[in-house]
Amino acid sequence: MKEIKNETMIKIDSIISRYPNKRSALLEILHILQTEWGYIDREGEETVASLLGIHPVDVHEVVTFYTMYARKPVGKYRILICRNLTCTLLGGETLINYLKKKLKIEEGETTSDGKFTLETVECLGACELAPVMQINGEFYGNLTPEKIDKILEDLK
Amino acid sequence: MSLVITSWFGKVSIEEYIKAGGYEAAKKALSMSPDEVIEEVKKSNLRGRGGAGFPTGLKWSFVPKETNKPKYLCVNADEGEPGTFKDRYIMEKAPHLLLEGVIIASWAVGINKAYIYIRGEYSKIALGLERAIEEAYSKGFLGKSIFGTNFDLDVYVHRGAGAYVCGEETALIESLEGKRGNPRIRPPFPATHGLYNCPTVVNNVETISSLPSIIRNGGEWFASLGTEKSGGTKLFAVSGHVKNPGVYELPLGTSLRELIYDYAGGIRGNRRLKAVIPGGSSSPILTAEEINISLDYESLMKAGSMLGSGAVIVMDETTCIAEVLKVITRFYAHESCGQCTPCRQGTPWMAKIAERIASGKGEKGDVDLLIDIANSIMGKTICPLGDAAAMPVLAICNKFRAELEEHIREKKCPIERE
Amino acid sequence: MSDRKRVKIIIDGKEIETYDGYSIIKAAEEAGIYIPRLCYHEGLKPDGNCRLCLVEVEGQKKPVPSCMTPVKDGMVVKTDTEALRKHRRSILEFILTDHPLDCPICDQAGECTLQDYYFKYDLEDSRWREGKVKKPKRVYWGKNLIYDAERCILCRRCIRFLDDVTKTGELGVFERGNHSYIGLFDGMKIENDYSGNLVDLCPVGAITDLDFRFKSRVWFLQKTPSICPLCSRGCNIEIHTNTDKLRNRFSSQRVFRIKPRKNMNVNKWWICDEGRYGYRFIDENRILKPIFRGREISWEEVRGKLLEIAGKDVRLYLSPWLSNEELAFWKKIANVIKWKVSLIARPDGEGDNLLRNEDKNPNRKGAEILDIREETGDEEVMIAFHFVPENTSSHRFKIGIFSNYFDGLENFDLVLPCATFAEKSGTWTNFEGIVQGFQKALEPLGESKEEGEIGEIFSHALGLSLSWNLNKYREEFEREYKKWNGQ
Repeated sequence: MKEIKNETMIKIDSIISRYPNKRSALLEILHILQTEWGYIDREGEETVASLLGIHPVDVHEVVTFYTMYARKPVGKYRILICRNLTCTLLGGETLINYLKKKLKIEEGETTSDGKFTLETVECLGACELAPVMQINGEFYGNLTPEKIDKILEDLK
Repeated sequence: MSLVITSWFGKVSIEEYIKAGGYEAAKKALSMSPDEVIEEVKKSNLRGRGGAGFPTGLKWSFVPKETNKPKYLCVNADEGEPGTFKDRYIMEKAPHLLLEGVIIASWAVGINKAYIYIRGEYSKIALGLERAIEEAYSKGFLGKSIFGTNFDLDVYVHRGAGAYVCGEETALIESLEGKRGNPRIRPPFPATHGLYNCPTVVNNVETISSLPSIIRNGGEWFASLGTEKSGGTKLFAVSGHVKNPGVYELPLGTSLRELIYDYAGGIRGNRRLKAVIPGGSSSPILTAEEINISLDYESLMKAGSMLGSGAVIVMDETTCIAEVLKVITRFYAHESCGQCTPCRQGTPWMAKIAERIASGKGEKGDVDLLIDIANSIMGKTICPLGDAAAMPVLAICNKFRAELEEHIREKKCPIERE
Repeated sequence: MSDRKRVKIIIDGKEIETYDGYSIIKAAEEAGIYIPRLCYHEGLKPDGNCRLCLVEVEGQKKPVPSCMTPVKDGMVVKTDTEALRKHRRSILEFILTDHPLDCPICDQAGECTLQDYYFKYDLEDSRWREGKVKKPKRVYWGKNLIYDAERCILCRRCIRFLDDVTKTGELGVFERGNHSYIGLFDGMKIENDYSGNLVDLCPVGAITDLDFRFKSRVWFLQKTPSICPLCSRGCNIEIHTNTDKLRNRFSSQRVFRIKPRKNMNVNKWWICDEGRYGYRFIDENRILKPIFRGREISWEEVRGKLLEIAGKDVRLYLSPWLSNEELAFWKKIANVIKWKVSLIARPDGEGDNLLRNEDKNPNRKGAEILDIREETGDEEVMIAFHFVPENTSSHRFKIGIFSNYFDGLENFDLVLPCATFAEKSGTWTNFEGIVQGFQKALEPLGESKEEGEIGEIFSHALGLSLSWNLNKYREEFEREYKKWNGQ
């Protein structure tokens, strides 16, 4: 079983209490533990399963269905860049290629210094700022190569 | 112009919101009987603002009054329809408007527990919502005996984790139960067998946020703002090749031309308009000649399109339609949950064909094949995602066939781009 | 079932009467109208995901899944319109875009629902020009299960079986869209006692049986209805054999597999793994000739040996693996010749609350009806069927009638080879008193003989005129059955 910090367990217990059925807390618990562990691996899934009294295969089903759960280690900054319609209309594809070249990685990969992971995602719901990327929950819009340079530089 | 929602934008804290008159409608609703509240909502002609456009009052009336099962409200804040960002605006800029609407809806239907299902990517917005909820609890507007009545109401935020299909109401419920977001077969409907198999109402953020003004000013007032069958105003999220992308609240019945040119500033660079998607990527595309259409549920349906979420994506003459088709089909293939055969196998097939066309590897007959696949999916799937994937393909292939065939023939994009 | 409301519906222009609450697909099937389906299985909760069973219902805008739509009085259903035919072709085409063309190497060929449906409902060329998806093949799931994700059509029957019937829930669907595949939690295996049913359930070759893998093409198999002998439930089975020397590449394997037969009163649609995989004894380790004190002899010589027990005290141990008819016949012989009769049975084993009974004998009830009890004695001569009684030291001359070799066979003076249940016809009475017949699928191996024939040899050798006659002793048993049943 993987270790969970005490404060985290308290948070998890309060999440579980929001629902009449323990299993409902699964998605949120996976978010919380992903923040703590960095990613959800086999041992993590087993741990979560025993927390909620469900079969580990049920956890794996959920982890592999939703795109936000990382199954292997990701970089300190997870760059999610949109490849959907409005962003593409406003030059998104060029920016995706720019990022790939700049970071020297392909989609889904992490830079060798472990700082950035690059993923292309579907519509992030910030189309007024297109082209848009999201890094660790923060939206960055109206992107240009120069803006991207500055944003990445500022991320320590 | 009466602004039902955007006039509250900026009143983020509960103090600001109350100062501007917030939570008065909730108090008023609690002094009415639940049936009276449902009547007002029915009179208002409010229709679901998430995309399906189902009459809200009617949806509520499907929930059995007599039942010994608990009832639930799920607020659909999954906002995954490409081009849509209006619910994000509401939750960022007026979270208490949403909470006030939740109180009204819960009182009307007899619900004591509400979950706001918010897409996982809106994590920062979720934090803001949690703060607003805390504020409401501390003032006794949520929790036990709200506003001094003997009505209890608990509201929780529940984060999704990246799946467009969870915007479909039964998939949302499955996800809330901690499972894969696989839509359920209907019947039975969520109104009788929803969350934990209990009576459940699923409503979009904007729909719920329209309730305070309906209660405050009356259902008839709301209905009068729009057209005969579509009451009220609507938030339109405009993006794409416009000068001023953003959220615009306009009465239903405003013309698309007015929205694009008078409100969103017209086409950037003053270029020519080529096409518009009026209600999110699932809605059939409109050509530049079709923009005099009235933005309401009936008119768009009659024109073979739909109002959907009201996400207006504007495309100018530099747009390659084959690229648009490629991006849209790729989206649905990526988001298909995989449960039923036509969507699971049909959406990636369409995506592969669209990709070949866009990259100059299209073959003769590809456009007809796309149309045939789309028709094989329409109406045959467990949930509307199949239809949502098929309709844009049919519209683009029908209205822009010449451009697609040119791609296939010339093996490259005919548009000159910088 | 008789107090369920009856309703009338019109299906393809034909008015039929059916039960309120039945799904359209079941009502249609009972009326002789077959609606093609992949994910629907009578023994599982319907899922409605394959979409192949869609039908048109008057008043409904869109076609509905007939497996999940209950009939209502007055419903008008169409199952065979041009639109539905086109729809079925599209579903089959959709499945065949990702489905690999493995037929030449796939065990399911010849009994594959996808193959059958393609021939019956489609026969059009595929328009798929893109590359095939690559997914895990030959994934070992435990026991005898091999999973091929490329062939899988995600009907989820396997998942539903393990969730609803065995309630062990080992399988799940991973990933999304057309990347989906079915699997176990990393490191786990399927270990339950009903795993073999997944092979039957899978409509295609996505789940195949390691025990049967590549051994025979199914169209070379003969199928004989029978009853499983391995416990007192008497699950209905089919024995699949191949005795064609040209088409069976194994010199000594005749039985290739056991499959369940549907019987709503006994085993419904399933059998347990013990019964499914417990057929090897029919072909392996068989005694092929009579043996007298370690030396193989002929049946002629056996008759000579039998003369020596004439007039002696004999304890006849009958076994609950003998058929009702054989028990009646041997009991008759024993009565006439005044032998003592008792029962020797296979010891109890593990049971569960699904199909497996603790009593590991198929016909203890038949013996009970004929009042054959478990007793021992110390007569000079002992004749034992199939099992070795405890404490046989008191018997000086031991005759054993067995089908297979075992340690301890050498303790018997005279060993007579008998047929297995697969090599004779007869009936057994299961633990609930249900009499069920099994049919002869094979000739007795070597010089082994049916126990009825052996009885006749004993009878004639000892001067009796009793002859073996299946029908005569079936009637004899029926008389006893009626008495036992209070009729």
